[in-house]
Amino acid sequence: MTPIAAERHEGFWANRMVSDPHIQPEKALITRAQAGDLAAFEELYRANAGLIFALCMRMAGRATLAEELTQDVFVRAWEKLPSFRGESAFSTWLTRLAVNVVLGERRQRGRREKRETHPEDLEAVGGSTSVKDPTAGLDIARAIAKLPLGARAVFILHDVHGFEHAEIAAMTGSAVGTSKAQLHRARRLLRERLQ
Amino acid sequence: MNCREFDLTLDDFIDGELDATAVAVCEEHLAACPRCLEMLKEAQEMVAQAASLPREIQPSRDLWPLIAARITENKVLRGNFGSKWHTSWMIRSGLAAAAAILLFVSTAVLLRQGGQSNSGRTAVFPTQRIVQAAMPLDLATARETFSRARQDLRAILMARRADLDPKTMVVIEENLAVIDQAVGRIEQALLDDPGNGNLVTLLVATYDQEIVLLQQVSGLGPRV
Repeated sequence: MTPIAAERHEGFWANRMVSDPHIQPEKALITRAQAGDLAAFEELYRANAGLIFALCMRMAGRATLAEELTQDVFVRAWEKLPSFRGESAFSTWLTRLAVNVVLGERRQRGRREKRETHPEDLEAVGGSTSVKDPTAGLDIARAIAKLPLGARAVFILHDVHGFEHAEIAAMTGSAVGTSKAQLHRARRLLRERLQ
Repeated sequence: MNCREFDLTLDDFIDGELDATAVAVCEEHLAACPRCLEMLKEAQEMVAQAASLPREIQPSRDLWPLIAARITENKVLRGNFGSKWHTSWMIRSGLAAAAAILLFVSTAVLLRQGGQSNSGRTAVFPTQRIVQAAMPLDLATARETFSRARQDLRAILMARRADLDPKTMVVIEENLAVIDQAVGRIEQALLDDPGNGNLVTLLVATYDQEIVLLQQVSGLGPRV
């Protein structure tokens, strides 16, 4: 993990735990949701919807498809919630589901990945007030959307979301070496396209 | 270290995954290679840009109502069946019933082609359909009606067995076995989920199929 990604990863988790004292601890919500409490699951959804939608958006490239995939992720999460044992963070478990949903959607459609992107959608994923150069985020978002799916998934998980190769390999059902090779490929392609 | 070797090591260098010795080798190369140094800067800038992209993006609309509706639908479906097992019971039972219907059609064709003509005969077997007898659908009535009709018709079939082509009889018995299997599966599912409207409907429809088949085959062959 890059130093920047590591810092964001840790800060992300710290902020989630202390940001709002009125939000029930995640563990309690999960327990209630596992027992069938839909209201508790809604809170889990609201806490993680942005993360999952961002992931789906970057991997799918289209907002409408990303919305469908996000719904699929949470419906599947509800169905599989009894199997969540807390061995990883809940958001990590959700991310894994999301990766499977997106890759599964591609396999079901049985087509070669399309490189088409929707510029107005990409502005949502590229533009950020935290980026100093207002156009830099957009350029890289567009370039990411044009990566081959496997390389795109690894790059998004590693460089955007800060997951380590071991986690990514577990999510995608591949080896750590494969994850590293895909990242190398993604970064090389992005450098070429951003020049 | 040459440029190609550095290129292969670049990502690990950026991600801080090299040991001290490897880092030193890379830095020595970078000190002497402006091209690789430029490549490193570009890569680091790109990674920094990626890391600064927003990790969360809210959908343009609230997706929860749609998600909740799908979850609730699945729950209702599971509630009727009790569990996923009952979903699979339903599917298997439905498929078995559908297979029985298809076999019934094929049997009817076979009978028309090879069975003896029964034109002009007056049926002596029960003609009452289970669905009609059980309207509105009442499972206890349906079971009773089916049981009586089935018993009578099978008796007739057995009495006329010797008059039928053996191949035809084999097909008929296979079809009846399929229907019986379907009935068995549905009955089992109902034991675990009594009162399930969909299962009751399916069961009665399957009863009906068996009775219709028995009615048709019981009318074949010369009268005893």
